[in-house]
Amino acid sequence: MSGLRVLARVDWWLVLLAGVLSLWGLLFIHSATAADPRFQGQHLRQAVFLAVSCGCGLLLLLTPYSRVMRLAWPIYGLVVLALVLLPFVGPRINGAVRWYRVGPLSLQPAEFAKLGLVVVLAAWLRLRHKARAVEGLVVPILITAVPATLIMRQPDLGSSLVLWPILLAMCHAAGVPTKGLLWAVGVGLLVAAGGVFFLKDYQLQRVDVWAQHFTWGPDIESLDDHQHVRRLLMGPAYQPWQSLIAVGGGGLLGFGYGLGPQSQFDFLPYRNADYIFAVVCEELGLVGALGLLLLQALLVLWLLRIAARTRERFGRLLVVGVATYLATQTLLHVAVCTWLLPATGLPMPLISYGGSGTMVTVLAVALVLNVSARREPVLAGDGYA
Amino acid sequence: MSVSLRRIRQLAVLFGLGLAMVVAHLTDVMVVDHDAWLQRSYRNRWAFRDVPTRRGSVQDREGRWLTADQPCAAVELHYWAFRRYHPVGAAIEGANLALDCDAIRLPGLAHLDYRDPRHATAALHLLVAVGVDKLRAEVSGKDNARDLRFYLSSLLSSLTNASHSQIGRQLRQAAAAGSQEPACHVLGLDPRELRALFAVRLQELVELDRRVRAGDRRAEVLWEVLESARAKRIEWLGIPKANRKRAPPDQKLCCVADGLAFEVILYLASIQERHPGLLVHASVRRVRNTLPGRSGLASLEPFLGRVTPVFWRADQQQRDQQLLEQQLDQMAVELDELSEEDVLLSDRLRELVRDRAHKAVQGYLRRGRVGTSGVEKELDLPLRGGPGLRFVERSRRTPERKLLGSFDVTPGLDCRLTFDLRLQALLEQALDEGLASLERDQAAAMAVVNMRGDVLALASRPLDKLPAAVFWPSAGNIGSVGKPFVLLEHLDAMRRGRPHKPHREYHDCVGSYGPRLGCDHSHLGDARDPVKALGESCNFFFYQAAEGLHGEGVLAAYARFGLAPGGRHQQRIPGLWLRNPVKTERSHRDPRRLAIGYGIQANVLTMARAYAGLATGRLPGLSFVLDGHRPGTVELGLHPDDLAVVRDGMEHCVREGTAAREAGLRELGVLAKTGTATVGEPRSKINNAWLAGYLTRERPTLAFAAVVYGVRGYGAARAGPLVIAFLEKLRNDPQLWEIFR
Repeated sequence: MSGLRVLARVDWWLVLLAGVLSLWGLLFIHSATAADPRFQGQHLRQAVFLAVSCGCGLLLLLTPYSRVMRLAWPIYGLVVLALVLLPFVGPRINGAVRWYRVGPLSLQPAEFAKLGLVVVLAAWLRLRHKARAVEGLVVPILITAVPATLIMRQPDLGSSLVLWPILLAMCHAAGVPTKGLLWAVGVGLLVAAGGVFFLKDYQLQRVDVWAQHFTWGPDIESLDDHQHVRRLLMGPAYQPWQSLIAVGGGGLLGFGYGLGPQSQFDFLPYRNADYIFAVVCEELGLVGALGLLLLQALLVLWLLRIAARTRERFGRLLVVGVATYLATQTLLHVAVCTWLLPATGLPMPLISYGGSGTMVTVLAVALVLNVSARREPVLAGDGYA
Repeated sequence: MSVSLRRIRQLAVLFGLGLAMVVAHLTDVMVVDHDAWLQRSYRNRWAFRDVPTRRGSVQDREGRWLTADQPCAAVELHYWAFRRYHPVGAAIEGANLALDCDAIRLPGLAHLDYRDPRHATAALHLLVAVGVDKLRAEVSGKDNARDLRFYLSSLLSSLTNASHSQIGRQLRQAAAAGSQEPACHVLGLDPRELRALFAVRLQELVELDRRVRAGDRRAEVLWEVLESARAKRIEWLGIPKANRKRAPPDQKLCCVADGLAFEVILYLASIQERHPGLLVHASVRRVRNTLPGRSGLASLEPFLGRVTPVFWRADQQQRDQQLLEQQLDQMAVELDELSEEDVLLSDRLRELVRDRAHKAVQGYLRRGRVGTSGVEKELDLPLRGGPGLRFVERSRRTPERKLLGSFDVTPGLDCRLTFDLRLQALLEQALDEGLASLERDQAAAMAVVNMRGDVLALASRPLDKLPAAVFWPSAGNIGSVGKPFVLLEHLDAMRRGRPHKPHREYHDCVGSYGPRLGCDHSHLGDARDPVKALGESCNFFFYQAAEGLHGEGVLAAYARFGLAPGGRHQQRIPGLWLRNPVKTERSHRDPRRLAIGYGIQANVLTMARAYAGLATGRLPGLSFVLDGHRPGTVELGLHPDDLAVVRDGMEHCVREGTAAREAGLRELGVLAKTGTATVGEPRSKINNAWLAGYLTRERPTLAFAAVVYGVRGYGAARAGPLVIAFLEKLRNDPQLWEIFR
């Protein structure tokens, strides 16, 4: 199919949705950073990231996705290699080694690992007979465990946790027996419980304070004089607590764009990335927050709709994987901002500031567009739905 | 529908459930609990800053200040910043860390401390010589390597102004490359140049320490404060993490010096940027006026009292609550204006504001300087005033972004005392000169009051003891200075027909009056003349008068002038410590001894007051505070002729009697009476030597009393020179003499 025909068949609703979300992101990155001279101009940098990502996405869109399938293992290998080499090459920032420095840019391989995992799992699970056998569950678990372990060692617990829902969703969509999946979930939870002992001190503190905060109740002010709680609120609980203040303070209609005191007065940390949803809540209130969630939900549902309409298994699984990645990351981001989960750094797709995250999300959307534009069967074998 | 499609739908439902859960939680937080979170949001960015008030000054009767607030500065140490960013702090901490993890060895020395500045230099030498391989986690342990690299980077960056992170990166890369060279070689720095730069910083600290201690005698030695902070941190680090209930001690500010004059602080201000961790902030100190002479205002020091921060006291709560309510009432008006301009304040937010303001006022009062003794304590309420408040909007990094409202401070009121600073100075000098001939540390006191009972001057020696011990002797007698009061009672009893023995019937004075009673001289027939008997202090006259008056009459004589129980005691008034008169059991048994002043205890203040009563016929209430409530004078109801007899006797005392040798008294027109009361064993010849009187007879203006405690010699000889020295100095000042003669 020629490039022009592909472009003609592109799902413009999806493009529109992604475009609106990106624009929303730019606006709120600007709002979150305008008052702080240290971060001024980040919305422009984000616009550049978006433009470059769109360029790369266009190239990916014009490339038949069957080629991506053939390159699945090399892509996966490259991502794993990048993760393996990271501790030796990457700089340590805030106690973690997560980025490669490339000139003025920083690349975060964990973000690319998410897309790499989606591609390789789709390639492995596309054959029905494999999906329904033992290797349809065991091998994907192993495939996921490698980058997940490497990412956890950076340490980046949040990003490593995103990989497991992707695995489960793709296996489920591929037809892996539900019983086997439930066993895997059970074993996974046991392993996770055991993994608590291997968490770093600060991660344990975050989990501990998260568990404690459910017992505080609405009268935390009466405990404000209590040295212990005060120390927590100024220490490990500072970020989620300030985020909750921003979210709750927003109320129904919010303070107005650019007027959120928690973000404008610098109380909310990482507000351009890990807590950008709190900025939205504070400035636009519940109405704005629901609007954003509605757009994200529409995006995910639209992706699942595309998946449902795609007969070819690799393409379908690819889209399911991307949808799960976006949905999981969005839900986790919101849960962290509202302290439903312990504090961890997860950007909201297309909204948060960050070159790697933006690039990966745009490439993922481009892959989905690629699949949607080429819905006819292109592959041989039993790779059909 | 295929299995695959069904499963995709299941996924959609699952995502939908997740979304529904999140939305439900959002609704709970943003709608149901919105008010509580909004309050927290306001609490984050609203702050109340208390504005310290000026404490009123304590002034003399002419408005010259005795004690007042003076702006000054304080120096504090923030050890967290000092050890991390100051080259000396980073060197000591880094070198000790290196010693602990065996990165360096220092034979014979377990650790380096701040108390010896040579240790700081040694720390620098050791630290810059550490091989960068020691900065690797595999060699020194992960945390040690990280901290060591940090201190080394801090040290070098603070000395060279290079980027901290850049140095850290270079060191890390060199360590990763396996280099074993010292850090300064890796970074291409000249060790000699580093030492020179370090020496400059160290010298600045030494100089700062010297200047600060010269400016504040109570200031801690900087090096001791640093070492103490380091020791506390080490102790804290020794506590297992799970048991650490306190915040790290190095986060707290430690006071190095307070009350420093701004000249002293200028030096630190000029170098402060180069010394992170040492902070200067504005403060205020209570200072005393200085007087020429050795003692200055030292006599009044305990009387004026102290101002110190005290914790919340129950007796202040009511008054502070009133103050708070007043301030909040004012603030309510401002808040209404604010709500129109800025935010719509709900009732709960108003409560929040009240709560914050309440805490700010409470915090101020807890920190505030409260009078804890003397006049400062007695007059604390008017002197203290009320704090101001500033209601500001702040950000996390900017303490004040916007002023939302403010409430002016209520300055403390100045309080005028009855003292006259110039008279006080004269009295202090006189006491110094008058006591010069006596034994060292001789206890003495003198008070000067006017006819209204205003205490004009009050001084005592020795200076290093509390004057309470001097003014209020636990044992001691007034001796013959009490005789004028007994004589007056005798004359009054004669006039009014109360029990008495007419003095015309008295026996001649022959020296001995029964067992244990006698007179120093044989006054013979003078024992029947009240004027001469008083002037020459004839005990015979008073023994016989006491026999006529009985014990009750003699006690009434003293009580009339506030020197014995049952009479007109001094009312309790602010700023005045007066103890009720006391009597001994012995005095009850023998009115004759009572009549010559044994068994009666008094101090110079009450004695001067009593003599003012003799001068005017009205007993004044003593007062230290010029403004406000003052006790009035009491008409004594004595016949002028009787008073004239007593005054004649006192004049006789100065001209021909017991004080005749002190010619100065006569020249100055003083009417006085001497007193020599034996204390302790009668044979010890240790006396309380008194001289009390007033001037002048025609126009009484000043009454005085002077006593030298536990001295060998007579009242006139010992207390007389003090009085004469004071009055001569007064006469030599024409302006003062015109007022007080």
